[in-house]
Amino acid sequence: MSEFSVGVRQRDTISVLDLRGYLDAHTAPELEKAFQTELEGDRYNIVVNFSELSYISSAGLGVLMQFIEDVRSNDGDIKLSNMSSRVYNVFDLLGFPMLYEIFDQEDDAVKKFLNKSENLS
Amino acid sequence: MAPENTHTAQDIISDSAALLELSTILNAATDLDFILGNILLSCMGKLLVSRGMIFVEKGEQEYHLRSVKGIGKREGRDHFTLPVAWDHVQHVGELQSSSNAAIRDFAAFAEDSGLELLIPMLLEEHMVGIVGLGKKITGQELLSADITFLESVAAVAATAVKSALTIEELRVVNRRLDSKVQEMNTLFEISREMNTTFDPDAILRIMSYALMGQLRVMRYIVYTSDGEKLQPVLTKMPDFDCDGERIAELSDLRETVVFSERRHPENSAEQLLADVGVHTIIPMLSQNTPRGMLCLGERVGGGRFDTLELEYLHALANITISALENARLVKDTIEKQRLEKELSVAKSIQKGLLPKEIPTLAGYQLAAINESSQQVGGDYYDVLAVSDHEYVLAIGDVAGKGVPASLLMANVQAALRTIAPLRLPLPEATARINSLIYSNTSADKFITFFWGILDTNAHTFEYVNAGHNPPYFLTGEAQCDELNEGGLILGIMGTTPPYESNKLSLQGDDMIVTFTDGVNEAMSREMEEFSDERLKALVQDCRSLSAKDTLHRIRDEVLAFTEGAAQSDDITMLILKRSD
Repeated sequence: MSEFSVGVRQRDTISVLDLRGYLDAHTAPELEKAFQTELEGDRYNIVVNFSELSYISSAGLGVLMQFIEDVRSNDGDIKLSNMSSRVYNVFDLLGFPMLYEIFDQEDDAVKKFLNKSENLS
Repeated sequence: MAPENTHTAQDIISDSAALLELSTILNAATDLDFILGNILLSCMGKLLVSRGMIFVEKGEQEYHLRSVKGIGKREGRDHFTLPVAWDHVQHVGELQSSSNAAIRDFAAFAEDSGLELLIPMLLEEHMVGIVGLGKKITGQELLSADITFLESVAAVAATAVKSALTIEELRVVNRRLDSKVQEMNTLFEISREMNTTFDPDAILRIMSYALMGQLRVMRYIVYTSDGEKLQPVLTKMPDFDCDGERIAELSDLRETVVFSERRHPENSAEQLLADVGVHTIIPMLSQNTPRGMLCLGERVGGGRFDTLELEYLHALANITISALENARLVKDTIEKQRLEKELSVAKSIQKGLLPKEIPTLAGYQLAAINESSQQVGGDYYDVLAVSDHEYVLAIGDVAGKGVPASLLMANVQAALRTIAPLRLPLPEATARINSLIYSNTSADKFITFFWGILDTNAHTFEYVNAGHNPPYFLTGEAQCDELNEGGLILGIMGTTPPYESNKLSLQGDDMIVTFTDGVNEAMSREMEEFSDERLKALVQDCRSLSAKDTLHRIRDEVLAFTEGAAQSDDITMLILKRSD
């Protein structure tokens, strides 16, 4: 069956989720679990790196939607990076670029978080 | 210096150079706004005009204002209907007296915007757009050579504009197609995924991914109905008491409801939902029967659903409800299969406990039957030899049905077979069986039990009745006694008052008929009980029959009595008759 996995890395105060493989309704619960773990650990600054993701369906976007309110109400954010054009196209078609910050490179997303916390301190 | 109103060779060369440059730029470009901007700048720069607009064709005789230069941003109209295809440059002033209202309307707008000339962009006599230009800032009139230049520009521009329009249209179509493909993929994926799970929660989770991921819906409630009452099965409305009773008015909803300026909530249930932000209600129909609904509220990015999205929602609602119905059917089937399996296990346990064959007793006839019902009751009988002329006869009825009853029955048999060979006095043996069963079972398990020992030499039968339907003892011509001596049913108390026994002396053709409540309490289709009276009379009527014939006669009468009704309990009998 379809392969999908999520890896989690910490960069400073930021959790980076590395998605690999095929994200659809069948595999979406795995991503859901990964988000839940981060939220339960009060880690609300999250970058999702899509570089190894070969396919996303609207179910995958549904998972992002499910957590975004909770994350933002805790002063965090979910930022997205390293999308292939195929993956980006799905986000674009469903009107998601207006809801999420999407970066070409993970570093830029991470920097955005760090700059914000510097400004606050 | 050349006179102002003439066109010199120098001017013609300059015009041609400008045209060539424009043509090169336009032919290399595909972006419409870039192309239009260049056309305007080229005309304005060449003729020293400070204002320009371009309208491009969008649909039949529809022209949209698409590019504006030198005129501040104007609120208001930006598209016009023009039922004409001009073949040469038009003067705005002249058009204002046109007989056609649409043209006058357009001319008024052009005048208002400070335009003087309208130059049609023609492609094979078809007007793909209009370039509008204002006055020369020098105040000079336009020369005929200027007009020729503009017409040349328009001709060069027409092809480029048409191509750019086509490309733009293709992009729109492509994107729409992409969206449709995306939507189809999602539906396909959902139905595939829903068909592989029979877990209602998983089905609803997949649906919520689709609502949030495909349509960015953040607030919603899903209700399903068993045909009577709506129940919320999934809710993303944190502060709303979504009890189905409150919106019972909607339980028969068949049509989509979208609240708008034109369609306000029409009843209190709709009002209740509208008040918490629900704006669209999609019924979930299974085989045309309302089985629930999606109540949809706030979307991220705002906006209501367009026609395509509503179609998608209908498909989603229908796929979801049929998956839920399937899950329910599968669950029912599995449950039914489990019950059937359990019944067959219970039946085989029960059958295994009954004696394989009835021993032949010198001078006595013994007949037994156990016909199990669909439900498998806990009836039991047993016959075992304790010496060459003494036999234990037993009959019992275990509380409950199915596997638990069968296991309890096995317990009774084990107790009986352990204790009977000890040759204890019957009351004491009964008390021991009772305490064995009591310690092995929970308090709600009990057994009505009748047992006795037949001595074929002494022709006696000593029995104890532990709460069982009293057997009939037929003696002499018309005597029919009930065998009541004994005590409490087995298994409810660890220590019981002492059991009592009674010893019968068996004469001539005396007969003992033991049975379970499946016989005397058998129900007819009219819910009438076979009854003790009827059974007693029947038994007496069998006075001259053998044990076996008596048994068959009773069974046939009971079956005839209950014909057409479901047999709810086992029919079990054990009949002993002295036959010498």
